[in-house]
Parts: sequence; C-alpha cells; structure tokens
Amino acid sequence: MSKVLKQTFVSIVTLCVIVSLIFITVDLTSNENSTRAAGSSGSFSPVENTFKKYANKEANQLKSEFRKLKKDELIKELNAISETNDEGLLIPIASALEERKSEFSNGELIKFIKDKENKSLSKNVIVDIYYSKNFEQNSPNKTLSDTDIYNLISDKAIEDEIRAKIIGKGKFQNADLPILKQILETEEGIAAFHSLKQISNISPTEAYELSQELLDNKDNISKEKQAAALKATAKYLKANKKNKIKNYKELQSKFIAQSKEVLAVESDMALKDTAVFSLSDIRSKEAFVEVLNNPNIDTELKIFAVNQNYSLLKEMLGTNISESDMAVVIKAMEILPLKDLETELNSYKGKLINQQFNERLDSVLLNIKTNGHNVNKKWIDGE
Amino acid sequence: MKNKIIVFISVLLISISLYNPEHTNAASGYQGWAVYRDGVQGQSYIWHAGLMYAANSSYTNAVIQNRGTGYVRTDTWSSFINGQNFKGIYRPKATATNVDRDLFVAMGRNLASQYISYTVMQQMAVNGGPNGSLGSYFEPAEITDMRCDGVVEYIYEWEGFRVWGSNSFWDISVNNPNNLQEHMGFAVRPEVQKNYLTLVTTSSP
Repeated sequence: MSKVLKQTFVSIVTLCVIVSLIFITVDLTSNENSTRAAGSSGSFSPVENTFKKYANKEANQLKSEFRKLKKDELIKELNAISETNDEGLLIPIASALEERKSEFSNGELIKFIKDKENKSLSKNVIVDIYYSKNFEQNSPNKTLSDTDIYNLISDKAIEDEIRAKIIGKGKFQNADLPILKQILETEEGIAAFHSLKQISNISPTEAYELSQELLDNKDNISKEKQAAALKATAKYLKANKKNKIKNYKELQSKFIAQSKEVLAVESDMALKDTAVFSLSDIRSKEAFVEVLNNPNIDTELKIFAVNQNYSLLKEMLGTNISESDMAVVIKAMEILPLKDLETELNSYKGKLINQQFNERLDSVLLNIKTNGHNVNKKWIDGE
Repeated sequence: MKNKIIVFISVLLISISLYNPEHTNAASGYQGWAVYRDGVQGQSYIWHAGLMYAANSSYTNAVIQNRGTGYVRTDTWSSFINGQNFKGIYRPKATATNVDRDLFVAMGRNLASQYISYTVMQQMAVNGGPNGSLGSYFEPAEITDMRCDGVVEYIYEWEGFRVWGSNSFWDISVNNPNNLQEHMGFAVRPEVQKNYLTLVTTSSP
C-alpha cells in the first residue's frame, strides 16, 4: 500500500513540476512581450521599434525630443524614421534639423547624399537642408554650379528622384547646357525631364530643337522625356506666337498634330494630360480650339483651358468677330460660362448673321446670369 | 395677345433646345475634396493629405497626392491610405460649386504632369529659372517641390479658396516672400491644415 501511495505521490509531484514548468514558461514569455511593448529591442524589427518609440506622440513633442539629440543621433533617427516610409513622421525631425543646419558642413551633407546606405527619404531631407544653408533668400540668383552639390546631378549612383530634385531646384546658366544635355541624352527618368526643363529656362530655342528630335522619336523614349518635350515645345511656341518667327503656323500645326496623336493613342494619363495642358498653355486660338473640340479630352480639363484662355476669348470678341470665331467663343461659354465676358457677349446679342448662333448666344447669356463663373485672373499674369 | 404668348414660348423652347452645353456639372461624388489619413502604426497625431481625383475610392486612380518618394501624381486609394486610419473628407470653408471642384481636380492633374518633387520642409518651394523671373503668381510649372498638404493648399488657394494663413498672406500662389514664408516650417502640417477646412464626412470615400 505504501508503495502504491509512494508511486502516486511521485506521480503527483512530477505532474506538478511539469505543470509548474509550463506556467513558468508561459509567464516568462508574457513578461518578454511586455518588455518588448515597453520599447526594448527584443525581437522586433528596427522599423517596428521606431514606430513604438514614436507612437502616440504629437508633432511638437517629437520635435522637442529631436532638439535634444546629439548631432549623430539626430542623423541616426532621421534614417530610422525614413526606414518606416512614413513621410509624415519626417516633419518634426526635418524641422529640428533645419534649426540646427549650421552644425552640418556642406561636405557632411554631400557625403550623406552620396552614401548608398542612406534611404531616399533621408536624402530628400538633406537636399533641402543643403539648399537652405546655401541658397538663402539673399542670394536668389546664385547658380548651382557655384556649389559642390552640382557634381551630384550627373552621378548615376545617386537615385534619379534625388538628382531630379537637385536639378529642379537649381538655377543654371549657359555654361551648364552641356551637362544638362548629357543627362537628357543618356537617361530616361525624371532627372532627364528636369534637365530639359532647365534647358528650356536657359534657351527655349535650343530646348525646342531638342524636343522636336525627341518627339520625332517618341516611340523609343520614356514618358518622362516625351512630357518634357511637349512642355518645352509649348513654351517655345507661346513665346513666339504673334508671328515672331516666320514659319510659326507650320510649327504650331505640327505640334498640334503631335499632341493629337498623344491624346488618341497614348494610355498613360499623365502624358495625355501633359499634351492637353501644353496646348492650353500656348494661349493661341488654334491650340485652344483643338482642346475644345478634341473628344479625347475630359470636360474638367476643357473647363480649365477656358479659364486659362480668358484673355484670348476676350480678344476674339474685340471687334467684328468672324462667324467661326464666334462659334469658338460660344462653345467655350457653353463649357464654362464666364461672367467676365458678359458685356462683350451682350454687344453681339441679336446681331449675328447666323440665327442659330443668335439663339445659342441668348442661351449662353441666360446661363451666365444664372450659373456664371468668375474667371481666375491669375492666368492673365502669365501671358 | 394669345398668339404673342405662343410665339414667345416657342422661341424660348427653341433656344433651350439649341443650348448645347457639352458640360454642366462634371464633378461627382467626392471629387475635388481633400482627404486625410493618420500616420503608420499607432502614430495617430501626424497625418497625410491628398485630394480626391475620382468620385470615390473604387477607381484605379482615386487620389492626387505627393508621398515621400517620387513626385506629385494620381495614385491608388491603397497607396494613399497605406493601411492606416482614414480621418475624413474635407472641403474649403467657402462654398465651392461643381465647376470649382472641376477646376480643383484639373489643377491637381496639372500638378501631376509637372513631376514635382517631395519636400518635408514646407508646403511648397518654387524656382523662377536663371533670372529668378516669376510673375505675380506662382504657376504650376514654377513649383519645384511640394509637401502633401501643399498640394491641397495650392489647389484650393490658386482658385481663391483660403485654407491656412493670416489675413494678409494666406494665398500660397502669390509671389510674395511673406506668402511663401507663411506656408513654411512647422506651424502648418496636414493635421493642422484640416482645422482650416470643413469636414464633409468621416466615412471613407
């Protein structure tokens, strides 16, 4: 009997030990999770740890914490936050960095941008810090080539979007044309887009010639380069309308045809939109009429174009408007009834030879009274 | 007299039938309104902003936004929301017509055609080219970088709908150092900006 009792006792004790061990193991695991939740490195990824560190902290509080960090810690935290891909979290740390920009030399900032270990988000912030240090408001015409960040624009080891940002924000001059052309010729991304845009700022004629080469070869170039070429061409045509160049009509006709083709066959919406906005930007009757009549253009973009081309329409209504021009104006007003053209339109009320136009004009004037929209005169400034 | 009334009504009916607006009100759903979501993984205080390009979130291209990488673009709803909490649809405080909303969306599409970089430092930065020659107003082609709330701010204020800023310098599109300065730095951020708009709904579009 005692033997049986002994065996039973041993079994019970063994069972208790096993159960205890189980409970101890569970308890230890629970404590470890609590420790992780409190912010220790535990087995969470660095990104998760960053989130936990900054969770439920308001931006001002975060900025206050960042202000207290040492310089190298600040950079380390910038990278840690960039790893999260939450650009919003960058706002307070970038603000702290901006306040402390004098602590960083240009060399350190350049080195950071070149370092492949640093994420694009971090580099984006550092480019802004560099610009803030070197291109203050009191040196608005300082060119990029006066600074050491200039050397980065053609460094293909650096991300396209970072180089595009540097190029886009910079001021360039004639001496920079070779390097900008080289980027345009050898690349297809947004750095190439902004290079052609900057060429267009320096020499619209040269940019136009480069653009026509690109558009003649559009099937073999990127969407970004096509977009840049459309915009540079429009800029050239806008600057040279009113017969500043001899064969303007032919050049404009060619561009309208190029844009029509983009609208007809292209599937990329941003590129199609570029074609529309480029046509509207020229502010010429022929380009505007194309926007009005093209069935591949959304109504909201036609509304935009009417608003933008108010001055053109006002000029067309000036004196003795032709029947064809009146058709254009009436159609434009049926898309966007502009109150600001009511007086001019009223002067033609009942006086048009085409009776249908008279009736449509009456309808337009009625619609202006009830649904008329005020033109955005900011567009006039850009003409 | 009766004949005159009949003639008048007939002319009126003919005029109305000949009225051929290609468009009356194109804006639908939530097009043109600003949308916000909070930060990633428990960061509920720091938000992200965008503008509704489409009527609702079911469209492939639903939003116009500028994330930290890339440039201002039309984008999917999932890219905008990024697994976070939707915080609301907002509109300008002043009443905007459907035509205004069309213009908001159109300006958003214009910005998306400019390959505008991202900046975290301020709502918007500009570049006038080699001569620094900028007009009285910053046009889309002159903008170099934008923050997410800058996209909303510029689109609304270009059309005269005030969002953030003092009585004198609220319009971010005006070429005046004070106006740009007003929109720099830390004072305005997406979660602050929304306080200067009117909530439409907290339901996801």
